[in-house]
Amino acid sequence: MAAYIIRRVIYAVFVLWGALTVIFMVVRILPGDPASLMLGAGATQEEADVLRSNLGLDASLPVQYVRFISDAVRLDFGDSLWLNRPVLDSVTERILATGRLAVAAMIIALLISFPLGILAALKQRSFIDYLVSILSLIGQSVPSFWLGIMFILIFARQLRLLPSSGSQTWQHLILPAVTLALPLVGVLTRLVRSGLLEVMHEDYIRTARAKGLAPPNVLTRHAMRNMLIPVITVIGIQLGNLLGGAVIVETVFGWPGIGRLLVNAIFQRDYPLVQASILFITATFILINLLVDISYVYLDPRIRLK
Amino acid sequence: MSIHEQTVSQHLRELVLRRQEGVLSRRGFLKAATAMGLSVPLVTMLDQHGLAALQDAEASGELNIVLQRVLVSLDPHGPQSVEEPTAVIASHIFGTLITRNFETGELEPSLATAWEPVDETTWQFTLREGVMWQNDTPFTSADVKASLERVIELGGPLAPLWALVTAVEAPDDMTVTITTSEPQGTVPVSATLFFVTPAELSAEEGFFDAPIGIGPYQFSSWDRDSQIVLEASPSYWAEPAAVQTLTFREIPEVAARVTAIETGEIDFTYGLPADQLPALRENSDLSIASTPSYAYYFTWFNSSREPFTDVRVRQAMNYALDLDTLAADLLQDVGAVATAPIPPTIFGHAPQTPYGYDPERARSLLAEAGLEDGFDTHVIWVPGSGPQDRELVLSFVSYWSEIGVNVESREMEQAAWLDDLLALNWDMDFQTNTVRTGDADFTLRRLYTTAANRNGYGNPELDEILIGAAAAADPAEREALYADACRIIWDDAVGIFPFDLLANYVLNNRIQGFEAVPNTIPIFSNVTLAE
Amino acid sequence: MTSRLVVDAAEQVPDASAGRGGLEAYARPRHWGKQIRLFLWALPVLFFIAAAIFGPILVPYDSVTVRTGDRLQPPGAILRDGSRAWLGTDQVGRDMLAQVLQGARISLLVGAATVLIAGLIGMTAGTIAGFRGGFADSLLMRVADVQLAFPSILFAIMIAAVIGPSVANVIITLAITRWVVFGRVSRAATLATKEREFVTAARAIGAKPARQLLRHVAPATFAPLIVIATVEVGLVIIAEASLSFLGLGTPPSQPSWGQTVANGRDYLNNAWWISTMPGLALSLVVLSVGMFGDRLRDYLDPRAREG
Repeated sequence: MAAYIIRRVIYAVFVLWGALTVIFMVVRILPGDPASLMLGAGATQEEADVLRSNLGLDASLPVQYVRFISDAVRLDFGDSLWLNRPVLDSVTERILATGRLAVAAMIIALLISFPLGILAALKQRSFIDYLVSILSLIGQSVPSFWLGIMFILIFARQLRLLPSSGSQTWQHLILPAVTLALPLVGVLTRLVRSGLLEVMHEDYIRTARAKGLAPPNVLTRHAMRNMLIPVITVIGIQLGNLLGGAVIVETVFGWPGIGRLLVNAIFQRDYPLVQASILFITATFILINLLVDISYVYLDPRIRLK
Repeated sequence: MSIHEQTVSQHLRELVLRRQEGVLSRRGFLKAATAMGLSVPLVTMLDQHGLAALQDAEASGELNIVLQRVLVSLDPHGPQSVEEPTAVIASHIFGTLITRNFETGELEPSLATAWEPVDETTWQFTLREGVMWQNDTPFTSADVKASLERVIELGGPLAPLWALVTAVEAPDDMTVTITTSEPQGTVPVSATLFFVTPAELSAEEGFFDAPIGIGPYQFSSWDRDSQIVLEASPSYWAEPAAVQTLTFREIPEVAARVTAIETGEIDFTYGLPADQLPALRENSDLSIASTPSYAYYFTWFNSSREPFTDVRVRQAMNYALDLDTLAADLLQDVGAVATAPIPPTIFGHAPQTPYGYDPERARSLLAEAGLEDGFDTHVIWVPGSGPQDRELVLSFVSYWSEIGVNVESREMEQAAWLDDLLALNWDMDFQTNTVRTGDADFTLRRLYTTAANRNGYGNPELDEILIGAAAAADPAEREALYADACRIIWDDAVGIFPFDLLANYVLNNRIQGFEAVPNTIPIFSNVTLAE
Repeated sequence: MTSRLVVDAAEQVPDASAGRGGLEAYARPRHWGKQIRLFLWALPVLFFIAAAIFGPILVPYDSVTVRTGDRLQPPGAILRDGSRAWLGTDQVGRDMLAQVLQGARISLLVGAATVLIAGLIGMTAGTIAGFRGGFADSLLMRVADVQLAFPSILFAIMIAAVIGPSVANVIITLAITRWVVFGRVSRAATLATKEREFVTAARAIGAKPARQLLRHVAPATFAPLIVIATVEVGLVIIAEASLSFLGLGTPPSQPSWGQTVANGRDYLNNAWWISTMPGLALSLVVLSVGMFGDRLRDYLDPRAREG
């Protein structure tokens, strides 16, 4: 088991390195120049050159790359060109804000999708089953920025129940979290339903039923546990995706998250900030998936035996 | 900020006294006082001013403000120094040597009480006596000298205003002299954009994350991309602010911003699209303060590229647009048809003869230029550059198609656009511009000289006028020169100057005494709150 | 990573090993009833495809001419020239109906072309990797893992910023971010198929590897890929809308639904139809493609059918 985890960690480091290298290159082939961008349209070439060398952007690419990787290893990401402060401060602040939002969205999604999925599986092929499947598809088919703005207009403007934008109190969390949760509800409901249906047909469930166990018992003691593996996997993946994928919802609701930071950093050509944000998003993603992998060992004895 | 509970108050008094006697360290005091539930700014104030802070505290209430752009930095000298949010915050916590009175258009003393040219190339400023920084150190000429040198050294967007400066001297504590290599009449005007920061502290790492200022407000906290909080400064040298707390929040999405001002979540915002204003105007809780601003739209032609090398083609493009209709249909209360290459709010503005909507004339001009069948071209622009920008570009393209010119609208991302713009890699460019200083020099000399080469247009006569106007110290002489410059730029159709923009400040009726300023840097130190 | 296999809309993947090339297995007369029902589920999708093809011919879209005097007219309003705007007009007075129909063309084109390109790349890479194993396989999986580790929308933003706005570029951008899903599914299906009897039999009678791959393995991976494709079309259309929201979508002369929804969002409180009409169309398409995909999966997957 230790060997398994070590292998995973080495692999994770490799994936990180790959992601960083790709980003380093992509950021630098972007058209645009951070120095002239910071100076605005009125600046002259000489002024931009001075700023560029102050920012260390006049070094050759290989030099910048080696400097960047060796700094990253020492967790030294330098200062943001645009925010003019240590990159690490911004990134950790923001990743926590997005984390709060992502976890809230995930909890909401689970609270809705488990009952719906179970209901649909138990009443397979019924009207309820179809209704659930349509509802979960709708959750996935509405563009989240449109939905988010509609939520603001309905709940903040018309009903005056919730604040429109910002991150100051827990009330501010509700609308963005729900907006973010809806597409997840779709994915998870379908997963719970199909996972449950699948295990229900397995022999041991049939046996349990044949033994005369009451359906609720069969459900909780046998079916649920086995269904959890794919569900946990998808939760892990989706949590990881939410870190960067929440950018739209963060923008609509003015949530100071990592996705918005990264998108702004890209628009500002703030290389250190872009690189560090991606590194953290990627690292978190990989970490979550590592935890998911390890959780299998506890959920499924068969994996433990291998 | 009354401290109701007697016991707390008693205990607090003891704490403050012990701190003043030096028995208690700053850290120990902060810890003990915050543990009593006092806010950090209040504690800092008690630390700095002792019990006086408790008695003098008349300011009360809070304002929630949303600016039209994202606040990125509090450093008023660096790369963000001309960005509106940075300038707004700096105007509240720092100060300038000179301010402009927008009603009279005159320059007025602020941190400097007097200024005068001592010879052709030297300006002398006399500083205000007895002004203290918020950490209780005195304001001196060393601060001014260090700040100006910092502006020049950082090479940010304000640095070009001071490009001719050869020396900044501080002969005594209350005097500063600025020497330039050539005569420069614009020094006092430039000083209205120049914020003084504390000399030694400014050099320290992280100072601008939580700066110590000199203005009517002091820094309290900053949660990036979320909000920044300022508290009234009890030690302000002029009349102290009436509103205790200013919270500047970030709300990027228009729908959310409109909702927030309607529901009273926020008290103040500006820069909303024209179509949002009628509904807000009907809201009895809100008022809209409007004024002509320093900002305007323009469309440049790349005069170094065919067919825009021909002045007739450039003029034809002007005649093709029905600006009056567009102003009425699209811009409504946010813009008006322009009369010169710079807005009427700007020193140096001189009204020109409008081109007017004349598609026939446009077609015949094109025919004279040998383009009776029209031509294909493009316009580059960045979405979000101004109110109704997309609508305007779409409409321009539509009008131009009427005279046979096919214009492709190239919507670009800011960084890529800027790259192309500076490299003259475009046919036409559509954007807004703001004359930050309120003086024609800021825009005309920087953008229209042959040396600047920003749009492929070069004219030795214009160069001479603009350089002469910058050197002249006599306002009347400068005004006459800029009138000539306006005429040349307008008649040669270096660009299309369609609309001047209005600033529309939307405010809750509880805000009283707000002055609608043309430079879109709203100031809250002199507003009061109605009960 | 075991987890990764389940990543990509994995529950939608029918078991490729269940029958020899799922599609063929069911193309028999006794399933006519089911096929007709499947066809019925495809009707809404076909309706939208027809609208995309013929709509702009019937109600031509003029991307250039604006009529600012007729702007922000509600659905059903009579315009100055006496014509009726059934779905209202937008912020510069263009007819929304024409715009929605034109948007159908662009959005469906982006969806279909992206999935086609991503599918072809993914299938080629995935089948070869799965079939050959070894270095090719490791390389594909590493590249895929690296790409999956950062969210596709951010990757799309970067690519879109590099290559600029055009319909073709949006397709390329989205295809680059989407091929991994197809690659993984085809690889998994290939791995499952490669050891099955009909392939080992072909190998035994001396079929060359290329022939084994093309004639026997590849066809068997089609079924899961087609199901994935139906899911992905919806996701791609939504992803394009997200790009438009961030200002990196299709150019204004060729507005996709996402583009129109994004540009109309500032008007949601006073002219809701600008954003809502194309938004509704977009949601309906994604919904009907999704429903069809569900039925298709049930149809192709014997176990799901049993229940």
